[in-house]
Order: sequence, then C-alpha cells, then structure tokens
Amino acid sequence: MKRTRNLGQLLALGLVTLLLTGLLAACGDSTATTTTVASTTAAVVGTTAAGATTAASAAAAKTTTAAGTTATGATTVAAGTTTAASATTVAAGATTAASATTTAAVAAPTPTAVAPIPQPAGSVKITFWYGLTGALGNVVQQTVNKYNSSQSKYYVEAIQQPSYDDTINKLNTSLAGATLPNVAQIYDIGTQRMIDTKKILPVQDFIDKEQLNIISDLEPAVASYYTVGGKLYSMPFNSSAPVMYFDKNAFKEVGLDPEKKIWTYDEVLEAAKKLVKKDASGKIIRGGVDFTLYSWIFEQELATQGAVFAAPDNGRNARATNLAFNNDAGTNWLNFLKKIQDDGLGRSWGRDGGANSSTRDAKFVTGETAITFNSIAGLRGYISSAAQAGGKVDVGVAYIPRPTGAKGGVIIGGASFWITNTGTPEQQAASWDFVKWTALPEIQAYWSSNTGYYPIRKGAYDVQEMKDTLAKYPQFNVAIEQLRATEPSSATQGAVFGTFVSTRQAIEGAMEQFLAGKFPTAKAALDDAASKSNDTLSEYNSTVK
Amino acid sequence: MSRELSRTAPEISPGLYRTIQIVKSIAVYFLLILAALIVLFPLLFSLSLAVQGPTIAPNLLPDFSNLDFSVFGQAFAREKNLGRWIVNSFVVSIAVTLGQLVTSALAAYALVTLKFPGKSLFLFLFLGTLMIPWESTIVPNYLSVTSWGWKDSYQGLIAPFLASGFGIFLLRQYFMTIPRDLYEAATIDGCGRTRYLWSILIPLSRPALGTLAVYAFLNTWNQYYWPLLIIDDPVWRTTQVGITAFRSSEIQVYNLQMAATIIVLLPTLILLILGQRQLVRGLTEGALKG
Repeated sequence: MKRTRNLGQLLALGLVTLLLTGLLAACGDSTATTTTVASTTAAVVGTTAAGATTAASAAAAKTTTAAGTTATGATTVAAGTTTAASATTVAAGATTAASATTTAAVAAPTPTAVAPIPQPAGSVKITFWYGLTGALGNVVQQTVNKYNSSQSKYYVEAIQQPSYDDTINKLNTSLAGATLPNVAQIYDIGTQRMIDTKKILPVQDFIDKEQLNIISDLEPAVASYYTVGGKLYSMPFNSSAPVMYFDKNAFKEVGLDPEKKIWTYDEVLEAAKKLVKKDASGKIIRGGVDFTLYSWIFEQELATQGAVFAAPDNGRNARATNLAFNNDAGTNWLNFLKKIQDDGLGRSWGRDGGANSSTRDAKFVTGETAITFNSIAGLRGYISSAAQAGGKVDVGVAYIPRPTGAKGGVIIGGASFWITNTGTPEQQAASWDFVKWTALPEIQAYWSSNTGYYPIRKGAYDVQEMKDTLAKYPQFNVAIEQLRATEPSSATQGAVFGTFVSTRQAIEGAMEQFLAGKFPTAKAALDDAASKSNDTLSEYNSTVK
Repeated sequence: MSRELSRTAPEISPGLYRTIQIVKSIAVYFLLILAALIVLFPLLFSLSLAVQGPTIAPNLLPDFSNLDFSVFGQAFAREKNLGRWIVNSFVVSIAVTLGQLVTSALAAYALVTLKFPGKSLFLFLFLGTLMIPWESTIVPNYLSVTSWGWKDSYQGLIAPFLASGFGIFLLRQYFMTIPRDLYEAATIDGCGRTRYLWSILIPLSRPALGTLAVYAFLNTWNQYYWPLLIIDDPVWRTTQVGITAFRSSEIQVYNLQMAATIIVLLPTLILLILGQRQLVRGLTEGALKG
C-alpha cells in the first residue's frame, strides 16, 4: 500500500520536474544573445543552489570555513580596499608585460590572458570601456597595450564590459554619478543616445583644432555613418557590413556560378530551387536559403533599395520624429523571406540571437544550408569551422540580394570610440591622442588582420599586414567592393534615433508573426511594428528636448 | 491499477509476490534515473559542449574518441580571476544572506512581541519598500556607494542589500503563528527577551528562516546589474558578470563558455551534495514542530 503511494508521488515528481525543465528550456530560448551564458548559468544555479543555500544555513559553520580557506589563497579578501586590488593587478601585469602582443587569429583563438602593461610613473591615466568579449576582447587589450608601450606620456586603462548593451546602459546610469570613462566603445545604434547624453566631445572638434587631414582618408561609408548633422561625433573603430554567404561546392554541384557577386531576389529564389534537398518524407536536409529573423539585415535591405528607415532623412539632418520602415522596400524583403519558407526552399530559424544564430552558423558550416546572411565579421569563424567540420563547405561571399532594379548599398555596423567631457584637460588630450592613434593605418591594418572587421582607413590597405590578410581571405574583397559600391545617401547612411533597441525587437517580432501567418500581409505586420516603435520614439524624444 | 494489485496481493504465491516487488523497484529506479537525467540535462549538455573543441557546429553528444578536457585549463588561462570571482560571489552572497537573516529576525521580533508607539507605521513603512521597483533605487544607491568610495569593494556589493522588507514581512507572518502563550510562559519562567528570541523563537522558525536564506542567497548570487555597475576592476567581479568575458562576439564558440560555466557551478553543486541531508532534516524537523 505504502509502496504504491510512493510510486504515485514519484510519478508526480517526475512530471513536475519535466514541466520545470521545459519551462527553463523555454526561458533560455527566448533570451537574447547577450544573455545566453548568463541565463543558462542562472537556470542551472536556480536548480542547484536552491538547495545549496539552505545547506549553507543549516551547515553554516561548514560553509564559512570552506569559503574561508579558498579566500586565503586569493589574497586581500578581508582587506577589501581598492588600492590593494589594483596593486595586485599591476603586479600580475608586470610578469607578462608587453611580450603578450603576439598576433592571435580569431579563427583559432589562443585562450591566453592578455595582461595589461603597468602604468609608467608620471603618466596621465585615462579609463577606456569596451564591449567586445572573447577573442576579440583580447585583441582590444593587445591594441591598448601597443598604445601604452608606444609612448609614456599617457596611460590607457582598458576595462572590459560584458557587451555593447551593458556598456551603454552602465554609462547611462553612471551619468548621474559623474564617474564616466574618458573613452568608451559604443555600438552603431547607440549614436543618438550618446549625443543626447550631452557629455560628449565630438572628435570633429579635435580634428578641426589640429587641422588634421584624416576625414578624407576614412572609408567614406564608415565616416558618413558616424557623421550626424555634418559633424563626425565619434571615431569609428570596428566596422562591419552584412554579406550573403554561400557554399561554393553546393553551387558547383547544381551548376550555379560560384563567382557571381550580385544576386536579385528572383535569382536567389531560382538558385534555392536547385539547391534545396529533401528526404523521402519531404523534410529539408539542405536548405536553399536558411536565415534568422534579423532586423539588422532588414535595415540593410532598405538601404539597398534606397529607402529610409526613419523620417525625416534617417535623422541625419534633424532629429528623427517617426519611423518609416513600413514601406515597399520593407515589405519586399518580408515577402521574399515568406516565399522561401512557404515554397519549401529553405528554413527560418526564428529571431536572431542565442541558439537560433548558432543553428544558422552550424548548419551553414556543415553544409546543411547553401545560402545564408550574416556579418562579414563572421567570415573567419565560418572558414575555420567549415574546415573543422570536415571541409565539405567552401565558403563564398556575395553582396546581399536585392530586388530587380535596386541600386544596392549597405550601412556600416559595428562600434566607434566616444570621448566624454569628463576629467582634466590633460585627460581629454590623452583621450584624443589615444583615439587618434587607433585610427592610424598601421593600427587599423593590425586590428582588421586580427579580427575580420573592415579597416576604417583607406590607407590601411597599403600596409603589408593587410595585404597578406586579403591574400589569405580573398572573400573579404567582395565585402570591400560591396561597401565601396554603396552610393552615399541618407538611406545608406543608416538611421539614427534614440530607441533603436526596442524598434529592432518590434521589427523582429513583426517578421516572426508574419512568417507564422498571424498577419495577412507584410505591410500589416510592419505597420504594427511601426506604430509601436513610434510610441516609444515620441516618448524618448519628449524627454530629451 | 495499483489499488487492484494490493487487493489481490494476499492471494498470490510468495514467489510471484517477490517478482512483483522486484519489477516494481526496477520501475522505481528507472523513473529515478530518468528524472535524474532530466534534472541534470543542462549540466550534462554544457559538459558535452565544453569538450567538443572550438567549433561553431557542436553536436548533442561529443565524439568520445576525441574529448578535449584541456578546455578547463584554458578557461583559467584566459581569465586568471576566475577562481577569485567564485570566492567573491560566495562572500557576497553569504554576507547578504546572514545580514538579511539577522536584520529581518530582529525587526520581525520587535514587530510581533513588543508594544511601542508607531508600530503599525513601521510595518507599513517596511511593506512600502516592497512597492518601490529596484530600478528606481539604483541611481540613489549608486550615488551613495560612489560617494563613500565603495566602488570595487565588498562593502559596495553587500551593504545595499543587508535589509529587506520582504524578509521582515515573511518572518513577521511566521512569528505571528507561534502562540503568545509561549512567550508569556517563558517570561514567567524568568526568560528574558533576548533569550526568548535566541533559544525559543529562532529554533521554532527554522523553516521560515530557511526559506528566507534560500531566497536571499539565490537573489544575491544571481545579481547582475548592480555588480556590473559598481565594479570596474576585474578582480572584484562576481561570477555572473565575470563569466560574460568568455562570451564570444560575432560568432558563438561554446566550448570555453561552457567550461567556465561548469567551473563556476561546481562549488554550489558540491555544497548541495555535502549539505543535502542536513538541509532536508532541518526543513522537515521545523515543519513538524511548527
């Protein structure tokens, strides 16, 4: 009798755990890229630490001693003063010093710590926040080390933040306390928000003061993105643009031209019909075109068709007052994606970010996807992973597709360096000196060669290091051509407005619902996203006027 | 079905009965293993991703002939502070948990057993703090902490969370269920107020204190924005913020991220395994008495 009741309880318990795990999994799915690691950790901690904590209170003595013994190894735990902490970092840095500036390719990241070099006595110190992590974050620290060892007047303390989003959010909160960094790396879509902080020293002012001839050598598309109202506000650092990735081997297999760079929507659909492979049950085993629902690509497709995202003029001459992406250009792209899905030519992996982006990348490098869209900064990752996954895939790069008759063009993405008005005049001078230095052709060639971003200076292509890189990754040339072929206009300059993050979410939501058949037309889906985004934008605008 | 089984049980032969028992316990163990696998899935999956090498196309199961365990060493090589972050998280979480237990217990004790003017005012004041969204307290807290020079320090991470309206309310509600007669009887026997709290009320309230401790520990352990905001020096980061350094930008490579995640999880996991018996005993004991 008792046994059977236990069994029943056990079954119930099993059911509950099943539900809970499902719930956790669902939570993990819906979180954005930035939180993948954090959310999985949180989820797992949630299940384990629920017990661990009470364990701590029940066996309090045990816990504290355990923590205590580990703590002694880690020094200065009880002391808890800032000076002690910075002293240990400096000491740690001294051992590995500047020798760590060997080049490390992103494709095969060497996971060694890049220690900052110690501050020389008597130098002016500035703080610099950056939002790149992983292997790319290492290259940022190496670049800063290069600067610090190149001169002894100024010293840059580089502080890594978890992501671009966290960098700008932390900066916004710090505005109240006036403890801003001297230089911050902020993503493209944070441009309007940074201007609105009113704590920014536009780099244009420094350039004008020194009568520096630098703007003419900046990559035009890059310079125009960061120019608002005729003023270059921040110094671009890492720039990228989207491309169409395809598998050259699959193209050859079905008789398509693997060297063709410009594709119209109709041509892509025709190609996808040839490329798609299905098993006996009709399930796709190789997608002709597989994609994530990615607002960034949507914005690019608007630029390709010469349509603005926000009115008036993408906010380039006067503050943007309403969003205009619910136009023909926008519906063209959505209908194109819907046709791919409905005709069984390929698959949508859902909203971009987290597991969905990983699915897109994994399917492409293993040959289960023939065509997909992503940033050119992903090229090295694709090439090395394709080789690792058996080398079936030969990665090719083309322009992002366009409707027949569209002129083409892309908007630059990535991040730039902003100088704040915090600190002493010497620190502001130091900030400019550092930012100016990062834009040198040699440094840009070094940065681009080690990461896969575009160099922001035309002069960088004359540096031998960059020439070697292009010889190694010839696909990159297509991305440069696409960028150079872009006609400057407010459409290809890209939009600036204060609520970009939420608008992107609204657009990705609209794409998701349209593909799921919840809106009768693409126009209806985009109208809905536009009206939601307009509400938040006018609210934002009313707070900054 | 189970009821039918037990009704017919006396009529069947002892041999058959034993077979049924064996089948039943096999079924029980099968279900237990299944449940364990489901619960452990996130851990096993991260382990699987960790040992597959730096690929952007991982499989559900790794290639068992080619496991890359060096990734755990690589995680420490990439971030020398990894161990320190775990220590930070523990120090902060334990300090906040203990702090909340002490402040909440004392406040709730006063609210329940003492008579003083403005008692309900205090209670509503405490409850009122529950209505304030934490986002709106971030800036004032940030300003105070920075003006005291507590950026990059344990006190900056701990101090703002030492008292909680929720904890006071939770313990007050629990203390109210303990009969007042007990307090009166103890007083007659010559028991002072402090002693009553320490030797009678606290031991009787173990389940509530346990719940509060779990809640406070978890909340603190999982904090993200506050540690991010007030910590600049990598040495002082907590695990939740620190672990993001392993995330790759642009293209996601999971092996290092997952290895670091597992390293960060292990201490809590080990504590759970070591302390599980005491934990369960503590909670059920209290529940029976209460």
